[in-house]
Amino acid sequence: MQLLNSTQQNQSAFANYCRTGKYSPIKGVIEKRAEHYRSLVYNIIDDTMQSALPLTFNLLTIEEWDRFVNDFFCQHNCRTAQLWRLPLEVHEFVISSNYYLQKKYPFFAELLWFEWLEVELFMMDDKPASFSLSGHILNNPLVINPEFHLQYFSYPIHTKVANDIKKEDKNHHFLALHREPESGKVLFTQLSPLLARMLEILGEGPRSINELLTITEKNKKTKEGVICFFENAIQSKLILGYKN
Amino acid sequence: MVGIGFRKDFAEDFLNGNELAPFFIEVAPENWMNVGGFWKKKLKKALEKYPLYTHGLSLSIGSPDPLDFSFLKQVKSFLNETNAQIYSEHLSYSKCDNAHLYDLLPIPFTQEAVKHVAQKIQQAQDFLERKIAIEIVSYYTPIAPEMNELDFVNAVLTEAKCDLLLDVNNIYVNSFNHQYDPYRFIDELNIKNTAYIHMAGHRKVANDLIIDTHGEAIIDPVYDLFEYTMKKLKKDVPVLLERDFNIPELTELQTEMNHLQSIKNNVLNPVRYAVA
Ligand SMILES: [Fe+2]
Repeated sequence: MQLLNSTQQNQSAFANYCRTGKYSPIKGVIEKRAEHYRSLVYNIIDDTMQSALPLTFNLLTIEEWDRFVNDFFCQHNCRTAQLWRLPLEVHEFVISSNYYLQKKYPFFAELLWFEWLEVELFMMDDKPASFSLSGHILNNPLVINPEFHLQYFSYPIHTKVANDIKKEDKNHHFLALHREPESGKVLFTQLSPLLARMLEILGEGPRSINELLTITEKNKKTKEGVICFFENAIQSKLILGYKN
Repeated sequence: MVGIGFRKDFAEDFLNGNELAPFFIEVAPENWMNVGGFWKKKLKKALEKYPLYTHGLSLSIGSPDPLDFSFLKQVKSFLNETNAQIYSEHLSYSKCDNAHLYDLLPIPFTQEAVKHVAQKIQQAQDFLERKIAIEIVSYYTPIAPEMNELDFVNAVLTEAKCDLLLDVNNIYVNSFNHQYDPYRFIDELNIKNTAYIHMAGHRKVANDLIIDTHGEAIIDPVYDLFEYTMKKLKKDVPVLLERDFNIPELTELQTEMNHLQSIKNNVLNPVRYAVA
């Protein structure tokens, strides 16, 4: 059953006021009291965005930030029932609305995406993996941590403070993020294009370093560096171990 | 039985120490379902020690929008996985025109709303295969009311055939903000199916307005109203201490819980003196 128009319209008008802060009289509503709802709702969105997007918050001026929160909440219909997933929708809003701040900060969308990835990896449901801790670093197929994400950025948002990033910094930047199984912390690893390609291959299934070198057609010269990288990756649990 | 809201702010101290000894814990499914890693480990640890009660935030039973069944499906799995004893939700709306607002907005007290809300509660109960305990929320302004709050709530409870989550502090807050007698409200409220009680602190922000903050200690008039409510109920209903902000030392929370338990004990098992 649909609500009769009046009840529905009044609810809609009240919700709309809470989202926009623009009040037009609603039957029975005490305006002064309605303001509390507006500030409660707005503060929830503002707090959630500030704590999930600290780098973006630091980057923007106070005026830019306030307008950003307001624009997002007014113009975007929040779909998620889980507040912690909101940063994903913030990113979506910036892309789909071609948000004006992208002109001043060309890396704006990438920064938001980077912040979302960290939240997502920290919070997302556990993914099971089967592996053995013993094996030969060169010959045994390596098992990558399934709680990982490989990302390409055109700006060095993970190595530079956002305020210092310039247009000239535009380049190829590869990054792996993974969740350390014991602590649950999200760790970041900067990658060369070759290592990024290798991790991409491991994401499809276990391979040994020898196989990875063959697939990527690399010679002995790069071998030492690759071994060193994967030894560290085993330490940090980006690589969990070897195929059973 | 007195329980405590399991908050991330004090999860670590709570799980590692012994200052706080609740009978059960309460969480919002929205904050914990489909979550892994660090917080899943903490919840698992808590669930090894305490039974779980749940208090939803985003179902938006009072909204004009239809129920979100994909969301309810996730809630249902979470309730089953955690062996949740109770699923409670708010008699309010937090989603409108397909957009979540993440706060509890007041439903217009109208006959249309009663019918609509009762039907949605029943649909949700059928889907979840369990009763929902519906909470009377604090509200600061009515919206286009055609009846009073009490008649609205009683009508919803009767039509929806749901349980009641009686938040005694909310009754106190509403009675102050809308100038009615909270004792009379309890007298006339259909409390027969009270499955769960909430107790909390609030903040008076103006001479005529209290905001339900869950950020302070429970005040004496609310304890008094609780005692009165227990006398009317005459049964052992689980009670939750809600503290969401401004978290004090855990021992202070335990003191509040002890107080609640002792009020309950005195009402339910009064010490009888032999007549000389
Ligand atoms: Fe409550």
